[in-house]
Amino acid sequence: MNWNILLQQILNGISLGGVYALMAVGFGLIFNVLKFSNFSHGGVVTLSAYIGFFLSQHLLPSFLVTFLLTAVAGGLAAVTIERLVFRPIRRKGYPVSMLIVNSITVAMLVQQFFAVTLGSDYYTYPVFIKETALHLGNLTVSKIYLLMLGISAVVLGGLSYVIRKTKIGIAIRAVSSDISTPSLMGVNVDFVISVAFFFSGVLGGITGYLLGMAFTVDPFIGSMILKGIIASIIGGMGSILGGVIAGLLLGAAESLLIAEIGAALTPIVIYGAIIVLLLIRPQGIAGKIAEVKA
Amino acid sequence: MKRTVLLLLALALILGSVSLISATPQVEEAGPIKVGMYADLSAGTAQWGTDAEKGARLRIKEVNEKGGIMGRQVELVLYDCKLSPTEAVKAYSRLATQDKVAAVYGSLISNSALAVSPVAAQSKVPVVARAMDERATTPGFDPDNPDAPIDPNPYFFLLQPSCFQQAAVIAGYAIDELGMSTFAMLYNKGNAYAEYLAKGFSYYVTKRGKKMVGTFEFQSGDVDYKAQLTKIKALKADGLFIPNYVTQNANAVKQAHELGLTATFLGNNSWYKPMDEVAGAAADGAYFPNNIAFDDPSIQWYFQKYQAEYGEEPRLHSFSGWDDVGFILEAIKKAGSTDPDKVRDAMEGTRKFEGIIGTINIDPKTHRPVGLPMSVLYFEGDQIGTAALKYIPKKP
Repeated sequence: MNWNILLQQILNGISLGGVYALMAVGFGLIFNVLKFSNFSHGGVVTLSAYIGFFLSQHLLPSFLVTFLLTAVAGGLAAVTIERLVFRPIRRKGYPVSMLIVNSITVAMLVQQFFAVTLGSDYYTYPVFIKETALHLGNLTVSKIYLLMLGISAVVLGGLSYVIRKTKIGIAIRAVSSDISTPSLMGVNVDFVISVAFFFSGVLGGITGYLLGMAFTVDPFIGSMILKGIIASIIGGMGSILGGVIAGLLLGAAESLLIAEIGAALTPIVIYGAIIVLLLIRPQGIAGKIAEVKA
Repeated sequence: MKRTVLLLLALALILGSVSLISATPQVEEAGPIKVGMYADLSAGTAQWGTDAEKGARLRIKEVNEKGGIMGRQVELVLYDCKLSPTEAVKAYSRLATQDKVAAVYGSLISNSALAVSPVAAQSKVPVVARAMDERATTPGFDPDNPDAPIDPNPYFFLLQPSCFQQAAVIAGYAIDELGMSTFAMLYNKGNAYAEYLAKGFSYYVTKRGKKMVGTFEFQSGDVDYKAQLTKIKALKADGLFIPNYVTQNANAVKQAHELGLTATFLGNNSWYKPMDEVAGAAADGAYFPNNIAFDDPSIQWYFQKYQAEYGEEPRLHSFSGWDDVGFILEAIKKAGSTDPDKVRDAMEGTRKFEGIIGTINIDPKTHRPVGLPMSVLYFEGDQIGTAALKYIPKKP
């Protein structure tokens, strides 16, 4: 393979990897706090993809405004889901497995809702960027993908700052390491969990918008979350940095593997590699072993 | 105690024989004539299913308004099979055994057709569909030797050109009218329809002495094809064949456009509307085969009829619904019976059935239409135009 194509493939992979990283972090954030795999994140992604479409196509053809509105809508959707579906279970002290079951149900509910109501039509975002290819020497970069990568970097950087430096970030980390002690110290755990879901939902909203813009919106767009979950596992559940590195790596690996061995064998190699990785290093790339694996 | 057991046994025997009697096929000679239909009304290909339903209902409405068939009204029994082969088999079995329909109008998804076809051979209620994979109508079809004589499934019929025939139309047009000689293709390996179009394309191109320089696959859930397209770009082929479903085709051309590919896009019949809305101007310069050209003056009557009924323009598969249900009703009329076996015989002998897509002559050896020409359409920006109204490719 010549160097140009190799570089081009890595570039293709990394730009999509940015979105994988967004999903991995949105997913991992909740895993960190409540110690369960929140599959409803895929539902938030799907919902946001549709919200972004309707806002940009019917309300205002402005990228920035509709993008921000969708991000907030995603956040509110996640908070609502937590309130309606997860909080009652958590309050009653049911096992974590109930949370997982409910999160899967929510994801399926959203998917089926859109399949029945809007599934018979195709939805495409307005064209925000006219000439989509950018030529850098011999490389061709898609402007949409570049935008995706840029947004992912800014958002994840911002989130990382919030989690590490701000009061609410410290509270989220405190609740993550022990859910019952902070409340003894006057921390409103319910509120902190709501905020964590809001952050996660904002990431889901952004993911949905970017996927909808780059591809065509359909009820199954949220199933891309699987890639995010994989990245999250590789990165070490719950670690932001790990999720980012793993997302980018997964994107690049996928791109190179598809080009070299084909799309059919690629998942086999990737899943196989993940099993091996987890056998050697169960904590993932950057994480520490989470107390509850689910 | 013994007596109770005996009594129960006797009861079981009686019940058993009663259910046996009711299980033998009965042809209802009164009441409405039931025509079955399974289609994807939800899931990824729901637009095709709902459009097919609209066409089918329009046809039945018209027939019923004219007094029905053999003095009986026609009733459509419809189930959603959600783009799932398992659901399709369930729906077909229900139509054949419980609803006791005379014939079934099947979903146009090849994967579902491949699952239903062997079941239909056993249940013996004929299926008419647009599923193009040759193996649905002729199970022993060999893609490396497509002309070898084989037996059809007696109970499965196709009402449009098959995968190999459609692939030959676009490949033939590219070679003879557009002067192309090197080709690459990108298709969904998990979709029987896309896979057999790809096999047919490659077969025709190679037979004509032209060259396939690259064959690339993707998986059903994939939306990003940049890895494959980057490789395809380096191959510098004249034409790139993209024979998948609408969203996949649209994603592929958008990404090809973003990567600056210069090959001419060659499509399948899924490039028809709404591809113009979904892909937009990224599809510019593409050619693809289609059963109809919307500017064909001879089919404008259907546009008016459909517009009057539904207040919208008909899309591709509303034509299929109209034609396929019409074909089924014609066979029932010819058979003079709703007995599925007699209807099947009438279908096998159908010649010169006038459909919107053209005159359908069923070949009894393959259960597919023979000599049906297709239109070749093209994209200019996001507008679809007609390149050839009726095109028949050269024999390979």
